[in-house]
Amino acid sequence: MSYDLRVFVKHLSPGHVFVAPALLILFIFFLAPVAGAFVMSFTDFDIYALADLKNLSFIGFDNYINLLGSPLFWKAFGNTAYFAVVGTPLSIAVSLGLAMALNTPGVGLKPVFRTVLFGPYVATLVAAAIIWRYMVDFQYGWVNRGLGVVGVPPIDWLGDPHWSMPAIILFAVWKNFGYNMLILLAALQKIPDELYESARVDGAGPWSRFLHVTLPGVAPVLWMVALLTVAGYFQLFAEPYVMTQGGPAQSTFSLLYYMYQDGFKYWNLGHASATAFILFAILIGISFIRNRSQESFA
Amino acid sequence: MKTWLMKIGRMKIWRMKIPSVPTLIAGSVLVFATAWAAFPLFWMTSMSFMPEAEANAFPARLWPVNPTLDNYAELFAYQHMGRYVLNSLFVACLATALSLAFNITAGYAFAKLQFRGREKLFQALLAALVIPGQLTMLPLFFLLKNLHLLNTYVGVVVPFMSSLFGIFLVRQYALSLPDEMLQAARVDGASEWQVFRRIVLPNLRPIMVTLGVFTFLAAWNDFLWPLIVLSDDTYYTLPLAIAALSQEHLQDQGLMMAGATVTIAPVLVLFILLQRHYVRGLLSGSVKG
Amino acid sequence: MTLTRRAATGLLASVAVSSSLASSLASSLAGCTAKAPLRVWAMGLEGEALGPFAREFERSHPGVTIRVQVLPWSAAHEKLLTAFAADNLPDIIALGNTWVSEFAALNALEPLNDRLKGSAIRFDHFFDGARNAVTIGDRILGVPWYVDTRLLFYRTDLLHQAGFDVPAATWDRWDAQLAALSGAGRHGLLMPINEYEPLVALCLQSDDSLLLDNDTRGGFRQAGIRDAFAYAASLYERGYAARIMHSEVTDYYSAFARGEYAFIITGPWNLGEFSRRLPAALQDKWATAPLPGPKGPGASSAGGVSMCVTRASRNKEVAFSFVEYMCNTRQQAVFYQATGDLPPDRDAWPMARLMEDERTHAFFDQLSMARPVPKVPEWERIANEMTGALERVIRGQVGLDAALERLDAFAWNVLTKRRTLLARQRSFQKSGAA
Repeated sequence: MSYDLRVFVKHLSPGHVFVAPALLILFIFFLAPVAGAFVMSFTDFDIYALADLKNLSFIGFDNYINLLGSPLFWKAFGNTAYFAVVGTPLSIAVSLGLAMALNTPGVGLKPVFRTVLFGPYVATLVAAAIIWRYMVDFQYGWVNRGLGVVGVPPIDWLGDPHWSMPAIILFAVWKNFGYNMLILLAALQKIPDELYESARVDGAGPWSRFLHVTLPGVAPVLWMVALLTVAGYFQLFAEPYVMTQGGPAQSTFSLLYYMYQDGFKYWNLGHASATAFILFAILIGISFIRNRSQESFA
Repeated sequence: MKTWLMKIGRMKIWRMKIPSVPTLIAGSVLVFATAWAAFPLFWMTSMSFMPEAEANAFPARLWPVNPTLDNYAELFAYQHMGRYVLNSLFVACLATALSLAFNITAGYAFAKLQFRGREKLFQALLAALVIPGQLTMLPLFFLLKNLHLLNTYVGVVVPFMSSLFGIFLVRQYALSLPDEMLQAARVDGASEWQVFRRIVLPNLRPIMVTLGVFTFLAAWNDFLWPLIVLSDDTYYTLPLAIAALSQEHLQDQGLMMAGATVTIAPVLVLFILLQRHYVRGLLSGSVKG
Repeated sequence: MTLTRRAATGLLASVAVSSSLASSLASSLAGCTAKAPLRVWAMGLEGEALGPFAREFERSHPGVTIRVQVLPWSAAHEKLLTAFAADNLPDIIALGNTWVSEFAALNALEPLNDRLKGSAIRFDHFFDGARNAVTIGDRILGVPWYVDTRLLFYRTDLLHQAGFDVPAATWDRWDAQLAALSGAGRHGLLMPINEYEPLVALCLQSDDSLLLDNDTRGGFRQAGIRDAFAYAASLYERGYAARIMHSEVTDYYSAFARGEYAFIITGPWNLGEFSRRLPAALQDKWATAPLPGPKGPGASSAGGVSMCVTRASRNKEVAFSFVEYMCNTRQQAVFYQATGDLPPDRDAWPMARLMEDERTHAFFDQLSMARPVPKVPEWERIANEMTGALERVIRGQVGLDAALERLDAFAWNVLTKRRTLLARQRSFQKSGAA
């Protein structure tokens, strides 16, 4: 260690030393790569450049222009938005419903219910997706058999472009509802019983109590959870990768799948980075809404 | 017959309180939802014990008639499943250890130590939370290539080493440590490192378990990043291995289900054992973060 | 300031130690064997079949160990490119022939011209299509290991029941046969929508080339190619072919056995699979035939897999001797016995009694008519998009001409870099000449 460095270290406060390793790692393996990706998105980094860096050049906004003019990008964007916009309310509704059920006084075995209901969330995504491929199989799957019992004709879940995304959403709801359920349950438990009591005294029915006591009580948490879920759902990848490989007719092809395919299948890194940044812009937009709304709730 | 029914009816009324309507509805919703949540996992386990003919039977069966361990034997004998289990275990443990090493100190410092630029740094980290990890993947790949960390366990755990989530989680918990306790130790002449070692660490133990479980589960379940970093199947983790298996052996349903069971069972068990800690992290991580 | 320097360095040191410990653990786990093993990557069933041959090679070459890694076909291409980007290519890759040009452009493959000269591999006896696929310019970058081409597997009994003695040789006649064999929930033909090989094969039957102008732009709007697309689309539209994806076809062997399909367009690896997986009662009721063409037996793609030695290999000598071991005439015949994969060396055919078997004889004829696909690195992407275009037409999302126009636009986009590089090369040559 040189003298200067030693003096430098001496003048650091202990706090600096405590945060240094973590921040250093974050800088090297997180922030620097983000900057790298940003630069990369303005180059034509591809397999030719991979073979010989002389084949690399800056191309300005071409990747972005190209991307915004490509039907496949808009297909991926549309699919991802579909997944997020339909999947989120469904997930939240299931989570809230079950959280309320778990919060109902008098129901026994709550810890058991809670644990089992949370099981899908902990289960490895890839393995669960494999199970669900069989679950939604056209001939053989339990979903179609269940539908058959109530008289619905079998649906070609993964083969029909109209049904593939609903199948993925069904799977995602099953996989994810547990997480939000626990958060909403904690929020529900914070609503004072007196509020319900006084509502009851005022003659409010269950539906009215739900609208006027429960919903306002969990609204901030509900809203935050919804936005986090939207942001998470915009990062759809492993489900279609394992279940449908983006098909049929690219109906489950997502933005992140596009980035993966562009980047790590065809090694069009410039183009893929541009896709990643557009996804990033979307997520920033969502978090902006979150910050604004947190201020208004506070 | 009739008296018997009446007897049962009377017994119920006599012995138990009649549940209220909302309780009945909530209870039946929970029973139904639990069945829905558990069924795929139950079927996975059940099918993994079916011989090939039963697993492929149409219509699908719920229970194995002649339970067998053949699928597991095939996995471990011919598909190197043992190696993948060890890989996953090692990767998850390494990620957990590194994550604890880096995040605990930083989280504690952000909560309890005064240093120049603390608030600004913390705000910057908060802002960085919105950056999706996938954004870093392309350049990170080349960075790791230059560090010769591709196709290594360390390469797989790099994203877990120091995480914004981990730092916030620890900070949130450390805020509740009483300042007087730390101050008393300082007055006794302990260095900051000694304060950390002797006072802070023992008190942070619950949140360490929480962060540990979170990291372990995340590392065990991670898919996209290992898929990119590991091209050599010597290092494959379980999710990669079963994804590869599913691309070639989809028709061998019993085998696939056995693979899924081997992958899912350990994390389920871990969760059930440590769920108290897990749920705490989940709540403090998202409600306040 | 109370924090000791010892503690600070201790913290940093623990970081360094833990990461270096982990990486050394990783490397020690990887390098269990004293000498680095020869790494071979191969795809699918052939990869699984390679194991025993590798063990045999190890026995005759003491000190050499071989580690075969099997890649699933559907993820092989991305795995290979990722490994290249990671500098982690193995010593030998069993490379799909259509990918050779891509890895040649990456300069990832070792030219084998000199090594082939004194070897047991009789390269000049190989099928033209196979030789052509691995020859880029004047460099030979791989040795064909097995060849494949797509043709028809069909149920003779179903064809007879429908009143036909021989499988069709022309599209018109095939239409008649498929019409008789389809309907009432049945489809005459299995041809998964997102598998590009059958579609490419149909396109190769035309005299028009898929790519034009030194492979710098798509030629999908030419009459011949358009006809092939229109024909392929009509197979689905008329219900002759099932509208299913590759990932949905879980068990087509039993579907073929149940008679759900009378025709399957597939490759030689299924000769072995059909013999093994179809019930005994059906074994004399299936046969193979060349693909029908617009006017007569048509061309098909010259597919297959070649063993390539990578430039990155530290042990090219041993690597090539393993290639030689696998690809000499006799071993090709043996490998056929083991897997049903067809030998690229014509001389291996009589040796394996392949000419006596009508099922394989059809392949010999089809292989002699095989045509190569464009040899550009971008081909894989374009071919994948071809199925995308076809799928959109079949599902009624766009008209055929619009789809082909979009396909040309896609190809134009994908080939941008190639045009730039070629232009740069030309101007360089010009300035070099001046």
